[in-house]
Amino acid sequence: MKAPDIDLEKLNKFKEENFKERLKFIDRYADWIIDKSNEEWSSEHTEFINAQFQKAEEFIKRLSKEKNGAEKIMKAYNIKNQKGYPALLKPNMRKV
Amino acid sequence: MEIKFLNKEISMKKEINILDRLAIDFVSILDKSKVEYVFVSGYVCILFGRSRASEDIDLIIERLSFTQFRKLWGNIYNDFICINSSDIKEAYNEYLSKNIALRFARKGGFVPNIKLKFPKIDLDHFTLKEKIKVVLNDNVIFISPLELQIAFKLYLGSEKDIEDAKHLYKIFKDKINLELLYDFNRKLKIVEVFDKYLR
Repeated sequence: MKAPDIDLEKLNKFKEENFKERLKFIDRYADWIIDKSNEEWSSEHTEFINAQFQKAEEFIKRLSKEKNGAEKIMKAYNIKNQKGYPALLKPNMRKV
Repeated sequence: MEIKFLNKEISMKKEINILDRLAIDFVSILDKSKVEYVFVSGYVCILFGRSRASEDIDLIIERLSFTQFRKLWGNIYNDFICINSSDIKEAYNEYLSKNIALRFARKGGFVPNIKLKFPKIDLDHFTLKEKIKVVLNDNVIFISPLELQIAFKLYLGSEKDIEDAKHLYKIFKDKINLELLYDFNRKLKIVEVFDKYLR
């Protein structure tokens, strides 16, 4: 199979427009934060941030159950202090 | 958003998330150990509401002798663990002294974690010297000057970094020293990037 011809100029323009859209979103989101009370924006923000770690925990739990899961986790998270993580080899004891 | 920003001090009350809790708990150890520090990079943006995830919090601490570091390591190890190494000499000689960050997480865990390093470049020293005090609820933490943070993110230049800069600028443009920001922009040669994405 051969890769098709690619119009790099068009692709770069698309990439730039995409990024500008992202920046517009950042703008609107910051406006939303500025307008809201700390209680309101931080409550939603905390939920969002904490959910990322919940997802990470679920991912690590799943990975730890796979074959060589502990080794994959050590590699993925660049854990060099393997002695410090005996529970990684016992998934039910591990906390993220 | 209610923020008080006066004379290098920001006061803000908000709901604390997992990253904030990690930052607060870790600096209580640095305070106890009398070690100067400053938070830099992504966490500074997330602290003020940027909606993106980060698995680590970047922290610059003052350069310590091995004896000073041993004391700090002992205090850290009450509640945290070093992800890179279990050996204090290796941690100091092969990581910190070679400007490689050490990563610390709560015992048994590895995300999120603190990426701790010594100051390496002139701007790191500037950041430590000119840090901003943040009173977060009843806790005190120190962060990088926002003018430098915004300019440096633009200098780094990835989409994520420019988005971080945009968020901070939008939140603080009426409160920061714009002359200082423009001076950083000139010196980091990012005036065009600033005009293109942040104006």
